[in-house]
Amino acid sequence: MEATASVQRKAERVFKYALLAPAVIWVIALTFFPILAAIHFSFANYVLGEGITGYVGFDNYIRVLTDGGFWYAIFITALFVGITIPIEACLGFTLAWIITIGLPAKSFFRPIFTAPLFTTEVAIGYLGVTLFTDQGGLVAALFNSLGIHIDWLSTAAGGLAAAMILDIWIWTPFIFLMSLAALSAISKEIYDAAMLEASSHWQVLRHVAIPLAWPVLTIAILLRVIEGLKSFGLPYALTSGGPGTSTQLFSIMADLTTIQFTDFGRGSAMGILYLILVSVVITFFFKQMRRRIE
Amino acid sequence: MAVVELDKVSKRYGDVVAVQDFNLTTSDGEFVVLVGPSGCGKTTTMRMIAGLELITQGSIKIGGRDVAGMIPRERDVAMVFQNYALFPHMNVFGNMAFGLRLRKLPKAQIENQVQRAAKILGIENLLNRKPKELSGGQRQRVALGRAIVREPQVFLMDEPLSNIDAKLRVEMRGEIIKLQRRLGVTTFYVTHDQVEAMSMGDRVVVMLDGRIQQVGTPRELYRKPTNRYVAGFIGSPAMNFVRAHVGEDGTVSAGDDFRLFPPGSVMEGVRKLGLAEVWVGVRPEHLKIRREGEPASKNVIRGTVEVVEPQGSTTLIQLNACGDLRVNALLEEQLEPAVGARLDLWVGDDAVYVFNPGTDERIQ
Amino acid sequence: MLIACAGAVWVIIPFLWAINNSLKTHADIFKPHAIIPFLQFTPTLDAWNFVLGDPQVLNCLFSSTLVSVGTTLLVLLIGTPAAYSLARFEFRRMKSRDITLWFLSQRVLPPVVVLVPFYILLAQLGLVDTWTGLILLYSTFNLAFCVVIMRDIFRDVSKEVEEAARIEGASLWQIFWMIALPLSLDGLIVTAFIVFAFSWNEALFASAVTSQHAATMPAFILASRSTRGVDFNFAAVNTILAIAPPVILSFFVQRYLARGLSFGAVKG
Repeated sequence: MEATASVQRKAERVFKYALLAPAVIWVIALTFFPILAAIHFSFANYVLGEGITGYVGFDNYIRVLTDGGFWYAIFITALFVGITIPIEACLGFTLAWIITIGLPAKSFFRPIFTAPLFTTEVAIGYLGVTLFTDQGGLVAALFNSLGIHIDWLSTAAGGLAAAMILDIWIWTPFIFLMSLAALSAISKEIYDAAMLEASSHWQVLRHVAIPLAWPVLTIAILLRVIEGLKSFGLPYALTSGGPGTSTQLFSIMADLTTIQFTDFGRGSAMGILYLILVSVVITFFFKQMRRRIE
Repeated sequence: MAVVELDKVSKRYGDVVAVQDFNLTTSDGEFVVLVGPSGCGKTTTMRMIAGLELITQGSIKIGGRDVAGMIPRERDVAMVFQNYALFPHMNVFGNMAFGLRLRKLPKAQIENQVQRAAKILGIENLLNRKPKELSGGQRQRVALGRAIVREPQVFLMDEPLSNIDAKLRVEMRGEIIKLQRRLGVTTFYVTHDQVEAMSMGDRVVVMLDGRIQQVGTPRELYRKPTNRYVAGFIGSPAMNFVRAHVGEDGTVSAGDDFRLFPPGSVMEGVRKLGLAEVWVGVRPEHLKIRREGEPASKNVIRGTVEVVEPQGSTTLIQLNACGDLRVNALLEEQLEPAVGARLDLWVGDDAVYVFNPGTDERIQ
Repeated sequence: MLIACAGAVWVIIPFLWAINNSLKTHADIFKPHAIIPFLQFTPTLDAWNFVLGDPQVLNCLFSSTLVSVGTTLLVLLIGTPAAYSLARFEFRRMKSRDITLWFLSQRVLPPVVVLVPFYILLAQLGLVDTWTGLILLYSTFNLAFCVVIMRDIFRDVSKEVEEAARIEGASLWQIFWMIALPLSLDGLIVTAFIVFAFSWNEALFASAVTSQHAATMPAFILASRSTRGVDFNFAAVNTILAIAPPVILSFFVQRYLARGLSFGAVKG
């Protein structure tokens, strides 16, 4: 009797592992080993055409850590992420809120609001060059007509600003969509009850909507941070790190080192260090996330 | 058609005991109702019969076969769920034919059986519709249709009528009974509604906290409850319970206005147990108003009327006796006392129940 | 309302600008005050003709399509069963929630770290500059999305319905195939779309790992920066070609998007 009951349990066990295994094996095979390989490289000296010519211990790491450019790149990346994401969060949430409380022509606005998320970053970055250029660029023209003169693409600050604006354009829809999901999960009755007590939409927003949507919002922000720290396509296409190396986000710098200078050793070390740095930051927030995702 | 035997069946989730020592043997074609409050273990028990939960201890036999290792499919049972659990992406025909198709029966036969079942339930014209196009009652019928089409050995019904509105519920109750009688399939029916239990079951199993409190026909449960829980659970409005002193003279009383004389055999039992206090139970429907000219009764309860609730052919009154003792009585309509009036109620000897305060068992 | 319109304008401007640029001659691009077509400059279809006639561009479009579709199919094939397993069953040593998070944590990895190892791996397999190679890589990155999204979707499939199927005699596999999947079509559409879009838009690996044969649109755009530094009108056409498919598709899957993109964070 007990034996046959466990046959049923065994069949279930086989089933659930069989379904899960391919995905797990795939991920392990295609990320675990490459990371190991990267670590391997980071301790080596790699010459194009010859492969690994020798091991240099922690040399690569030291060179990276003492390179001002490395820290600058991290700083720029942090700055980039630190400015764009809060703005994206506010804009995205606001737009979601507007739609939730009853914007007319929803089926017109919603697709439009989500569209930018699915554009190709490099294409937009490239387009950005023509938008921000002093010569005939739309944005430059707009600002000029307001009397504000900004050197968009010829200064670090301007370049970063331009990249940030475009990044916000592309990624706000992400927060927008998640906020929409969060807000529509709040039952209509709660809204109605709140509206009866509150004197304005703003109050409902502040005291009901935001607290209830907050968990999802934090996850959205976390996901954005994860992706944002890897930003490459947009800034690269827009400024390619220039002028000079002043707008070089981390991934641009790493890409330069690895692909264009083919210094695999140093590039790998850079990457590993960044991975560690990012992992620490993310793990801290991950703990928060664990509580929210069921 | 099959006999279902549950022998010392228990279910544990870690430290939590959901069902304890469940013993029951049905007769062939019997309609058994499992009734009790939420969490009493009735659904868990049924799911163990179905094979949706594994049995921790004990054994279940369907038609003589021990079903311990069998997956649901092999047990040849059919189940009707509280929320019908119809397959939303299939039409009614598909829903009903699902099990048959899985068994790879020939198309013509499937067609036949589904049509037959649909006819019995009066849903032939709905076969092409999808569940979301149907009303609650119609969905219920489809769920029933899906269950009967396979001609299983046992029907299991998990509160199938709780999501239906009251009026339709009474009608469906009758239909389910008729259906079951016609098909003669052993049926387990779970509900939390004691009225439903009493009106439908050949036998009723009252459960609490995972244990069977009593098994019996509705009549038996009504007339001879084994403990205070069953006595209070069965019958609506619920039985009145009063804490009373045992008197030397064979009475139980809670004051001058509440003095009753239980049957002699019962008081014998009380004396044997040496109890000074007992619980006394009287059903509201057994309390009567003493009319002019009627002989005085020994069992009298006196009090002031506090609440009067007309209920059509009956009137429910709440009496305040001996200060703060509240007693409910269900009277015939013609007698409608006024609020504040002093009233004498009497009850027959055999309608006085006495319970042991320590174990809550009825003393007989 | 005002905000919404402002938002809409904000969103649309770059699209319009791209269209604008694509209609300009090479010289017009950097001319100041060449903003309104017909009024301030004469639009021409020269750029369009040139680009659409370029076989390389057409090849890239084809590659992009092939790779994106291929990745989507592969990811759905591997990820969906895994998601179902995580949604329905419990595992002894780890909570399925943690396993899901583990999948998601794959996204933290900066692509740059694995760029070289992947390149070498592909080289050893002879898959550099092939569609297969890209599909392999992209599938790895996008598996996480499929698992996380579909897990959430599967958890919403009524357990009672699955139990009913079980009682009717369905095996575990049959329940997955005949009940859970059909009822999760919405989620599959979202997942497919998201994987498609992210594959289509990926630039870093595409440019690193492909050159002539299997280059995708983003790779092409990045490459053309150096070869055709200032032909922004051509670039604009490329831009439009590149962003059109996912954006247009996004209009069709609007209904499902919000639900799918909540990553399991929204309950109910």
